[in-house]
Amino acid sequence: MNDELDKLQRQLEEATAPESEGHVPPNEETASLREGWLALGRLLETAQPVEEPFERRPVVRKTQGSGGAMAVVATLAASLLIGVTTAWLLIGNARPGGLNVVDGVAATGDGQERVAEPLPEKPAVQPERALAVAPPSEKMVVDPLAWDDSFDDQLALVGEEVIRMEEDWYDLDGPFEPILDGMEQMERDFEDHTL
Amino acid sequence: MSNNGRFADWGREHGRAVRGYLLAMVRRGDVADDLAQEVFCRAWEARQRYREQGNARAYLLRIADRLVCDLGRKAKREINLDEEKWKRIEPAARDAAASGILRKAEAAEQLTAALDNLSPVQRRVLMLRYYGELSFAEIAGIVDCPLNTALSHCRRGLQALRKLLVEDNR
Repeated sequence: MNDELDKLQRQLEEATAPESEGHVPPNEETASLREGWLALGRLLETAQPVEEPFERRPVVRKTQGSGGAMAVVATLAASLLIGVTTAWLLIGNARPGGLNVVDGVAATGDGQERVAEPLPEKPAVQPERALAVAPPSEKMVVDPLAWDDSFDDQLALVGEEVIRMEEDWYDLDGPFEPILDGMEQMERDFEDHTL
Repeated sequence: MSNNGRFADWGREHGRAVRGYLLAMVRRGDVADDLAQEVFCRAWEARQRYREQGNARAYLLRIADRLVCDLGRKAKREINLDEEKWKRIEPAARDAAASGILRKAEAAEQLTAALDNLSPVQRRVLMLRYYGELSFAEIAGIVDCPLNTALSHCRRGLQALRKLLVEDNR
């Protein structure tokens, strides 16, 4: 029984061995089985050639070191941004005339020139904090490598707006009073089960 | 070897065999891709339990085979399109030459007929042998049957293939 099993196993191993030159099946029956195997193999290769996605795709390995370095760089960049903004705020407040926004033309990557629009003027809620905006001047081509002062000015404007919004928020207590009163009334109603 | 290194090696060495086996069994590239990804996900999840012994390809193909069997059980939930509808929505290759497409389509049709002519177990045994180059003992382990039964399935499958692909084409 075991001999027959071994014989069948050897025969099938011969019949299904990978295709190679000079491989001759030992007998007719094995050769017959091998014909079927080779026909299947050719069909599989033609009909569904399997790509090797695992090798073709580049494997990006994220090391622990690079993650830490990225965090440090991000922290430094954020600190620098905050520092620059604060400095410009201080300088801007110290200047008698406030900050000037310079109108200019920025060169873009596609070779076209994009005109930087001046920020619209806002109604002077607090005149002492309003910024003097320079009138639009003639278009001028800016060297892309040159330091862009208008960006700093915009940062300063954003900082000013944040400060003003914070102040305005505290000034808005008055209009919210009826809402707060209403909510307190609702809370009381809930507690009294009268709602 | 670290788990990361081992998995990178497995992907390079056995990714093609795993995907080939799945493709032959499910005959849909998108499903085969999803299942191949699932095979490696499951192997990764079980990495703590894996022992560096035996054949890694057999291990991965065992997972692949189980996924194919699971898919077969869920097959009733899928909507099968008839040939006419499939031809309308089948994505066409962009850069292959027309003759290549035709040859591939003919081969695919012939392959479908050949594989449909086999019983599910015969198909599993032959595809595990073809893509995995596994020993018959390993195949018997995956298919969960005695060695002589696996051999018998292989023999009958080869005879059926020969009749359909060789004798009938003469």
